[in-house]
Amino acid sequence: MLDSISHLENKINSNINLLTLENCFIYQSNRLILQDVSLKIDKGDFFYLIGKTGSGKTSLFKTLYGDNKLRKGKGQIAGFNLSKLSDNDIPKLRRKIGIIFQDFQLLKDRTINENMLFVMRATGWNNKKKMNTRLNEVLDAVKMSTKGYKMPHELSGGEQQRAAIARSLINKPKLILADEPTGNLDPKTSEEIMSLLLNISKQGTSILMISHDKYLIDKFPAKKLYCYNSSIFHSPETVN
Amino acid sequence: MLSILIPCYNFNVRKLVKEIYKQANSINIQYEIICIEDGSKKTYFNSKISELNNVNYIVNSRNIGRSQMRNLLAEKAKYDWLLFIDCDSEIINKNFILKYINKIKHCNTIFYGGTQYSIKHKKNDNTLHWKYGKNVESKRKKKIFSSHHFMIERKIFNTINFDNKIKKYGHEDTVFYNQLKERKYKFQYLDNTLLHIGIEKNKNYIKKTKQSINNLIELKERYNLSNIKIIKINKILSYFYINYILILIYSKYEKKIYKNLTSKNPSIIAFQFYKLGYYSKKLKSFKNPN
Repeated sequence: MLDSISHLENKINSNINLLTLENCFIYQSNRLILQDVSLKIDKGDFFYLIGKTGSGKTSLFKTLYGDNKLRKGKGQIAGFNLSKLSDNDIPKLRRKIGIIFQDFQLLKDRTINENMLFVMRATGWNNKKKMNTRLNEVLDAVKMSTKGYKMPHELSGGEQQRAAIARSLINKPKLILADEPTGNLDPKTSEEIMSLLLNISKQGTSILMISHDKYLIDKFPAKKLYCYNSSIFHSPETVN
Repeated sequence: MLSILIPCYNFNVRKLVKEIYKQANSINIQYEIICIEDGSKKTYFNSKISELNNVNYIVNSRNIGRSQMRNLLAEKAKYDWLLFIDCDSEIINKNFILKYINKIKHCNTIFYGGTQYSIKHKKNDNTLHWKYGKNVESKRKKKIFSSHHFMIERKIFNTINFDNKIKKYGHEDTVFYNQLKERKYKFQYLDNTLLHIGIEKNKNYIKKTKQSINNLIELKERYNLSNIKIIKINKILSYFYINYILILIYSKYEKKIYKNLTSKNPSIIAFQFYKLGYYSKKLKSFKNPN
């Protein structure tokens, strides 16, 4: 009974806040990385996550998709209680979180379409008609619908990144975690990718994006989270 | 001009060296051929090649592995360009050397050619290597760099060398490729194939494949190897938390698949699954030893 009430409570909260962390302590293995983290992300929010290498951004991401256990504090994401995640919950949670990471690249030995279908099969899709419909939808969303038959090496860096974004959208995620998605791109292509991501967030998918690119952050203003002094803040570090 | 370097290991290289010698002489270039036996148990009268001009045949009684062997060959080389050729190769193109020579003026580029497997196959106990090579490796649309045969400027080679710490078999060329790519050197594929004749017996090929995967797991801790297919596929499956299912299926059917792979007619799909399953299982136990 208590369980079902708390589940209902989570569900109600998740309609308002997609992600809530309250006084959370983030660990990587047995090392405390971030302490007393509190933050809220609503549906359709776009947040930059800013901080130096080693400041805990990746550990935060890992906690959000259930790779690091939340040991202390309250956290809920897309209806899941982060401190009570079971092995059964993890695959379900991860389908609701799209990721765009540099080490999560496209498979180079198959076409863009086949890359999309690979992820669909890996996440339990089996109806061919539905798969094809979704494939067209995600490629259309990133303006790549005419390029699905191409191999990754036949595409530009920007187009490959668009395809990676399309792949992250397959399971209609509620949140996208992006780790420097414009890292290896030229300024003009970076701006195009930013416009695309902002557009996706306007349609209701929240985005939390790690970036170090001051020019982009100024050009495309959005909410910001700063990672420093082993915690997360809404304002930048001030030098005393 | 060109130092042609052949690491030798338990293989008859006389035919290969004679063909290189013939081609190099016919185009009248300054060249040398250096062959070093890497602690081979059998040398197949390879010493006869030292009767040829410009050929230096050295026997190293200790096995030092492919990485250190290539570094040693480069150290011994006297010309500015190095052409490495694996010993278990057969030249099938009369202009093989010429095609490389024609590229010598292009700086900051590493040239490499393809690998071909014979059309017909006679033996029953080495079909897996042959079938995989013929149907998968040599049919890739994007020609992946392989150290089977490649040409590099000596000064570029000397900036990084092969990693001497890599003693075991496998992926030393992937590390070499990635390090050169990071330094912005270009790679160019040449339409210049060599026949790969050192086809391993099925059981040995599987053993070597596993060794190479073990090596990959160790190397990926030290180098960024995120562009390797098996690593990428495992990342995707791990993220969606289904690598566990894969490991379960692999563990349950491992013996059955092994039986198929060592048969006369092994399945390539089964082999690819076997490699992925082995990698996922090993990686899991590497991360969580208990």
